Amino acid sequence: MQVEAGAKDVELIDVSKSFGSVQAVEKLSLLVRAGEFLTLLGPSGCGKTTLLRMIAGLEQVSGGRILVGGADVTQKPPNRRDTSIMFQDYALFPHKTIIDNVCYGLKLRGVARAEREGKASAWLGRIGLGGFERRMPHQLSGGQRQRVALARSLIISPSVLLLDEPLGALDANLRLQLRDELRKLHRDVGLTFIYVTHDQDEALTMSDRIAVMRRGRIAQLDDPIGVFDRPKTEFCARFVGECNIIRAEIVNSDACGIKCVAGDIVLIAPPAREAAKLERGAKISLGLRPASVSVEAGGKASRPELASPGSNCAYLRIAECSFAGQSLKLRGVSNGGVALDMEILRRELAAIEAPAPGDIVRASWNGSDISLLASDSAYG
Amino acid sequence: MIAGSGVATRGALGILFATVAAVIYLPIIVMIVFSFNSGRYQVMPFREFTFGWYRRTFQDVQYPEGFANSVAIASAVSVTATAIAFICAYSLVNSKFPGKTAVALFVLAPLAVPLILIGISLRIYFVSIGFEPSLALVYVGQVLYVMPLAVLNIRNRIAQIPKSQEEAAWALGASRIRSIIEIVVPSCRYSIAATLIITFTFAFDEFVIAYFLTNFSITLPIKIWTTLVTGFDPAINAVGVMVFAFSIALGIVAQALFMRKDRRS
Repeated sequence: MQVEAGAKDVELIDVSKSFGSVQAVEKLSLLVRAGEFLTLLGPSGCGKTTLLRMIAGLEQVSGGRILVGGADVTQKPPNRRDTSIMFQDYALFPHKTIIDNVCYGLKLRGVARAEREGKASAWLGRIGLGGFERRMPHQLSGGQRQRVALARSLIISPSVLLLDEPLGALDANLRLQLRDELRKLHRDVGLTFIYVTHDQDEALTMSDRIAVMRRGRIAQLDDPIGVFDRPKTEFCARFVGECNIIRAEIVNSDACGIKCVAGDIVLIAPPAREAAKLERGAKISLGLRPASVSVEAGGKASRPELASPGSNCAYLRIAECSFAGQSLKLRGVSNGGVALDMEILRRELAAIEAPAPGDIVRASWNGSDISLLASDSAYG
Repeated sequence: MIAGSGVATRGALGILFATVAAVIYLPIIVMIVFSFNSGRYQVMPFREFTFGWYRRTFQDVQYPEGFANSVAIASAVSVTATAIAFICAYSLVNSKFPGKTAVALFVLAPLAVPLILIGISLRIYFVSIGFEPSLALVYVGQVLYVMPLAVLNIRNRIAQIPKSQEEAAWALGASRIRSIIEIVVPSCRYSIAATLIITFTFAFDEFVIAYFLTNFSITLPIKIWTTLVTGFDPAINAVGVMVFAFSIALGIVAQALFMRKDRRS
């Protein structure tokens, strides 16, 4: 079964929204490609839900325009838009049976009862709820309700499906399972999905592209690998995955890389992709994922007074050590007082003795794993 | 913290409760007892058991007429007030406009105004603009009187309905009117039914407004009152018992509807 209407792109042009004196969304522009799974990722209050509601027509924009498939829908009410929305609480109609819930959109479109019930039954079968037609919403589990809400949204063949934290109310295992189902459904129906979440794992595993939002603006728009490997700002680096933020000073910068120092640690970062002010002496922020750091035993006998052993490498004294299931999380401090978080897989620990607080380790990393972070103010 | 749950305290509370219950229910019991007493006067000892007083109320044309008027007006009042209250409550919950609080206070204000003031002012007002006191005016006055109750009742329910339900309906293509009729109203059906009954009972036994806004027509409470002031007739006991039974039955139905509560998702 294939949803018939073609997917459409969604274009936001300088969209703003303010509630009284609070600026929820600020001059935001974004092009969501047709058929794409795009995630709006950000902490609560970053404006992601407001943005989604504006696309649905449930909030009026304070400024800017919204285009769906090239047509300006900015002034259209929600019932005249080609979008469908799924809410975190599913918003099933409590007094209607499951099949009447799923049928409702078709009923509004004047589809005859027999035809709409046939279609709805087919959808219920497809989502694994065949035989649930005459039940009431309160008789279903959270996961089942979520699927009914999905079927209800998709049966009207929208061009764009908007999802507002649809997995937020479910328990962890079910969330993982439904993540896969949603992803598969997206591939099957080929619609444009715009998905709102604050959960970075959901964003990374499901999306084609992720728009990381902060304070009503997009801090970074990239595919999941790009967002994770090349965070643009300190905020992005911290919000998606864990990240060391290293404040460093540039020694020199050329086509081969940027050499800089942070305390007694010398780092060589890859050359900047964007023209930035990288003069000698300029202060910059560097991001380095704890898991990108390799750890070798420094040996209890090593002399910590050894200065930095070279670039992208440091001797660290372990200050903290915590168990995290698959891995071990360590915090080391260099002789010069620079702290660095590290994460090593326990499988790799076999080679060295498990570090304990007070031990000296040799930490090293690839220059290509360092990302140059812009200050947050530059990207909202 | 309940201070002292000793025997003395509990005993005192028991006596207090018994006193309150006695003050409320003894007169009703007395009324019921004497409605079956063949004696002409309201004194013990009990003479003979009789249905005579009940028979007599039906022979007096004014009782059935007053009852019919009361039922007709109360029905109209309850339907009108509930319908207006629904619209009013929906807007109070769902829209933001300047002066919303003022409007809410205005709608609820009759709660705080003494009934006699409402009665007098309505009479003066309607007469001054050329209306004769009539049952139609009683209807208007009583709609006003029960409105706060109806609005409060329905507003509380509408406020409980997650906004997302209506929004989901819009996103599926429903107009606002349709989403109200097909999504909001069914979610409030028990509250609406309960409001219909409560406003009916309030209007049914309302006396002050009815008295001020009529000249010659009678409602049941007016008939009872005139009977009482023109000389005691034991038939009044029988009327009282019937009104009491009628109100209690309605009250029980309303209470059951409240208890049932509109189901939430």
